[in-house]
Amino acid sequence: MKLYKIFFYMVFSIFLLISAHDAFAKVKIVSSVPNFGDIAEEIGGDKVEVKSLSKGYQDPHFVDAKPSLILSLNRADLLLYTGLELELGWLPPLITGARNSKILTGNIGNLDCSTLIPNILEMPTTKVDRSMGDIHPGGNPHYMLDPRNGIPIAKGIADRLKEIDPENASFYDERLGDFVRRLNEKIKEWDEKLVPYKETEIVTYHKSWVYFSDWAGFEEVGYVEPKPGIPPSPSYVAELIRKLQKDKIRLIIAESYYPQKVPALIAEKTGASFLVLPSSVGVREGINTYFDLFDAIVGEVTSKLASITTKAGDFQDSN
Amino acid sequence: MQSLNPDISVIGTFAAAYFSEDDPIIHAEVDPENTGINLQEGEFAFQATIDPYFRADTFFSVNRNEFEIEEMYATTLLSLPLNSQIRVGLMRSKFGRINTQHRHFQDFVTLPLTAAAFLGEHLNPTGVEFNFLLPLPWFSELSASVNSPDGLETTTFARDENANNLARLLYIAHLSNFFELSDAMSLSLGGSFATASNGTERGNRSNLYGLDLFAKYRPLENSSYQEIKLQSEFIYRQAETPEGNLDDWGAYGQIVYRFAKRWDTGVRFDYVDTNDRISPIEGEEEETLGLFGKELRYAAMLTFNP
Repeated sequence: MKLYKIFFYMVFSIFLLISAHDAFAKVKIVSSVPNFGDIAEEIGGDKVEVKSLSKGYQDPHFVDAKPSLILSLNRADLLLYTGLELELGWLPPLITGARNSKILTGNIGNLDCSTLIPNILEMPTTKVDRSMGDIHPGGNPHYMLDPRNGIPIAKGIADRLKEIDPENASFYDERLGDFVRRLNEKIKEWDEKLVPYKETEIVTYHKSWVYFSDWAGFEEVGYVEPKPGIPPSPSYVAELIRKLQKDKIRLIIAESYYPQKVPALIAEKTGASFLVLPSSVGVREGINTYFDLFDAIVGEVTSKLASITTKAGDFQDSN
Repeated sequence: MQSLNPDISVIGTFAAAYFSEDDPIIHAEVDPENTGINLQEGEFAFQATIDPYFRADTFFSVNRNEFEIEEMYATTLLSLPLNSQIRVGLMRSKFGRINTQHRHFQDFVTLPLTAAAFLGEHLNPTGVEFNFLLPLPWFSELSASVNSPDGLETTTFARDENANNLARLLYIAHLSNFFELSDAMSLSLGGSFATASNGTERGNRSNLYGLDLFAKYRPLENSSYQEIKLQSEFIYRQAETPEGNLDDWGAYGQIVYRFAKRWDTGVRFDYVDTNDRISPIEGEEEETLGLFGKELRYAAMLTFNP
C-alpha cells in the first residue's frame, strides 16, 4: 500500500472520532488574568466554571499564546480580559483561533473589563509613539491594583452573567451584594492601615503600581525601567541610584516576575528597602482571592514601612 | 485613538554576511548572497477584522526589485460545525513549521535546506483550507486544503500540462498536536502531507511527507524571559519524473536559547540527501526536480532583539 493511502485512512478515521460537544450546565468563564477569574467566582459561585489563561506569577504582558489555551476559549461563554492593550501580544490570535462567535468583540461573551473602570489613569493626552516604550494608548492597564476598582468589575461581571444566564439572576445579585459589602469593609480596614504612610515616596520597577499609589496616597518618584518595557542600562541605573540617595527614597517595589538583580543592587547601594510584592491572585501559595492579595500587599508594605520608620527613628535618636 | 483602519506593520530584514569564497553556493533566494549587507526582505502587513464573520490578513514581501504577495487570505471567526475554521486565499500552507513562519520570525538568517529544496523556500499556493479542532483532551488540529499549484516557486509541484484534472491540484493536509507537559514545558508534534502533479510529464506526481517537532521550555516564575526552544523537521519526497522516480529526504534540527530578555543564541544542523543530480530536460530547464545532492550544513546564531 502506498504511503499516502495510509495517510488518508488515518485522516478519515480521525474524522469519525469527531462528535458534537455535550451540553453544558455551568456558565464557562475564561479570564485572561486570574484577578477577574477570582471575582467571577465570587459572583458566580457554583453556577460558573472559571479558568484563567495565565498564572498569577506570570508577566501578563508576555504570555505564550499556547494552542492549548484555544481549547478553553473554544468552549467559553464569557471571556474577561484587562483590555487597554495589556494582552495585545497574545490574546487576539487565541480569540481568532477559538472559532467561538460568543467571545468576539461586541458580543455578549466578550467583556473588556477596562470599560467598567470609571477612572483610567495615564490616558495619553498627546500623540504617543514607541519611543515612549511599551506605552498603552488607552491608558495604564494595571487598574486591578486599586481594590476600589474591584467593585465596578464585580458589577460588570454580574450584569453579564445575568444576561447570559437570566434564570440565576437573583443568585448573582445576591452574591454581588455580599461581595461588594465585604470588599468595602476590607477597603476601610486597608485604608486605615495605610493612613500613617501617606505621601511615602517610592520607586517601582514597571509603571504598574500607579493605581495602587493613587489609592494608598504614595508618590512615585522613579522607575527601574527608563521607559515602560525597556530594560535599564547601566548609566540609567547609576543615575537612579544618585536620585534615590539625594531624595532619601526608602522603598523600591517590583512584581515577582521582573528581574530582581537590578532593584536589589539599587537598594543595596542606597540603603533603600526592596520589596517584591504580589500583584495578582495566584502569584504564590496563600494568595487565592482578591482579598488575600490586598491583605498581603497592604500587610507587607505597611510592616516594611513601619520597620523603616523605626530604624530611621533609632538613627536620629543615636545622633 | 479609535480607528477602523487595519493594523499595519512594516518589517525590514537585513543581513550582514561574510563569505570566505568568491562564489558561494546560495540555497535560497532570501539567504544573503554576497559579503556585505543585504536586504533580505521588506514585509508589509495589513490585518483587520472586516466584519463579524471574517478577518483578513495580507502580507506583501518586497525586495529591491521584486514584489511578492506572500499571503492574502480571509479567516472565519464564527462558530462553525465540527469546530472548523476556514481560510480562503493565498496562504503559507500549514506544512510543517518553518513554512508558516515569516522571514523575520525565523530564528536563523539562512533558510533550512529542506525548505529551500522541497518547498521552494515557502509553499504559498492559492486555495481553501479547512481546519478542524478535534474533540480530544489536548489541542489537536487537522487542516486540509485544496490549492492551485500555479505560480509556486517550488519545483516539487507544478501544473500538469494540458490537464484540467481536479486530482492534479495541490492537496495539503496537516495534523498538529500540542501537549502542555507542565506550565513551563510544552511539546508540539505534527505530520504533514502534500500531493500534486509536478509538471514533468502528464500524470506525474510528487508526494511530500513531513514530520515536525517543537519543544519549548520557559519557566514562568522569576526571570521569565529565559527560554529554550527545540525545533526539528523531516521531509521525505517521492517524485515521478521521466528519468525515473526520485526518493529524496532532508531534515534539520535547531536549538535556540534565550538567555536574556532581548538575546537569543542557537545552533542548527541541516541535511539533505537527494538522488543524483538530474540533468535538466532539454528546453525545459525550469521543470527539473533535480537538487544539489547530499549536503550537510551547520549554523550557529546570536540574535539581539531590540
